Amino acid sequence: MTDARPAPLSRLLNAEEPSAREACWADFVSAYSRLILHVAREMGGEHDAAMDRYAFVLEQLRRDDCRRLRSYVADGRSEFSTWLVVVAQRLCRDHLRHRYGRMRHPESDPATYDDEWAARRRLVDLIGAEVDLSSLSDEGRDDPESTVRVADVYSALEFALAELEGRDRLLIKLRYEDDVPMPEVAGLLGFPTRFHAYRRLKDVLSALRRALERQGIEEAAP
Amino acid sequence: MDLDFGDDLSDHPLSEELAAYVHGTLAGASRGVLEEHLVRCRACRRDVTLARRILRQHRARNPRRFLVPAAAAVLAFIVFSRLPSRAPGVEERMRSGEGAVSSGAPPAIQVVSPANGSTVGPGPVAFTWKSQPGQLLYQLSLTDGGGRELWSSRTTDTTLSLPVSVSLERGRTYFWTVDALAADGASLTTRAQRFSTAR
Repeated sequence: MTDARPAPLSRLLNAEEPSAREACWADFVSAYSRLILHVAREMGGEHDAAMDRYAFVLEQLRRDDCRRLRSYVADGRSEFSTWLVVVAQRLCRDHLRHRYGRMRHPESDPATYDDEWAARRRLVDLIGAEVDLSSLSDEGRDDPESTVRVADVYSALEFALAELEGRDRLLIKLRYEDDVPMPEVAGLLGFPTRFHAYRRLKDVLSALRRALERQGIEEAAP
Repeated sequence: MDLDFGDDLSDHPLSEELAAYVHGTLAGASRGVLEEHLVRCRACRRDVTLARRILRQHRARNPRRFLVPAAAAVLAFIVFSRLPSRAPGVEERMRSGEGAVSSGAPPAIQVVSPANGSTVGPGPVAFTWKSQPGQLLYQLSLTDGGGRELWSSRTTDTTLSLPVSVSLERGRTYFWTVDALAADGASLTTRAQRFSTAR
């Protein structure tokens, strides 16, 4: 059976002599260091922090006789570089967690909560004029009546979102919660072109608008 | 509630599954299950979006390593495009919708210039194709031999000129494609067209 793994990986995992293994490890690092460094940098922070993460990823990949690398199965579903990026991202996240502790959940993190609130507001804005947008203004957040109205709108929105198919909910999450550009969303969700993704998004927003109308949200205006 | 950094990795899909999703090869029920997870897991959503971005940027910066698969794709296109096939009528093509694009045999828009395989001289390059019935939005993409997108633009017309800000090197081969989207979601394409620049 042919070894479908990339040559530097295959040589590394097949090397038996310590000296040969050292040389193969150096080759592997040389082949993939730019990619791993790219991942480490994308996780944010200063140069030193990125280099720390880069070193951590290499250390973990080499640990226990390259246990993680040995777990890669060349089954044709993805390229090794794609798998390596995913694994490196997860290792970088482990490193962050190790260093800074667990990330707090949105309820206890005002900054994250504000992001989510802003994302939901953007979504409601896009769904249309039937919703009383003035009740969603920043000033209105402290007014009890507005707060109740906003909570009603968001509750109806959550209900409407839950009714969507998984792929459509993911489309909404990627676009409005994570701010992923549409060409990237299209590629990720497997749309043939970005036009198809835009068209689907328009349909989903229309469906959400109708769902809100059915729940009487157009009567939210004072 | 969204899962995030603090959750145990056993709550998340295997790296192989995420990689297959990023690669676009995860299909059927597995894809559905993973997408359900992505809806409620911000960390994994971030992983798949960032992984795609990193890989795209990395390939753009290191095109040579990806020339072999790109060359294989171009070769396959040349071989398959010379095989005889039944040419569907325009109405049939317009009815084919999204499925036609992903079926591997997309219906074609006829190219006027530059003709496939032609050599263009110095000076502005104008891309022209034949119009199709209905209100269509066309998107043109121009890529170099390594598959790197150099320019793309949209129009409802059937011609676009390469802007002066995009310069083509002499003696190089380039590829261009026009995709069209109709109001009902149906799509058409020219498939990849090749031209070279004079030395």
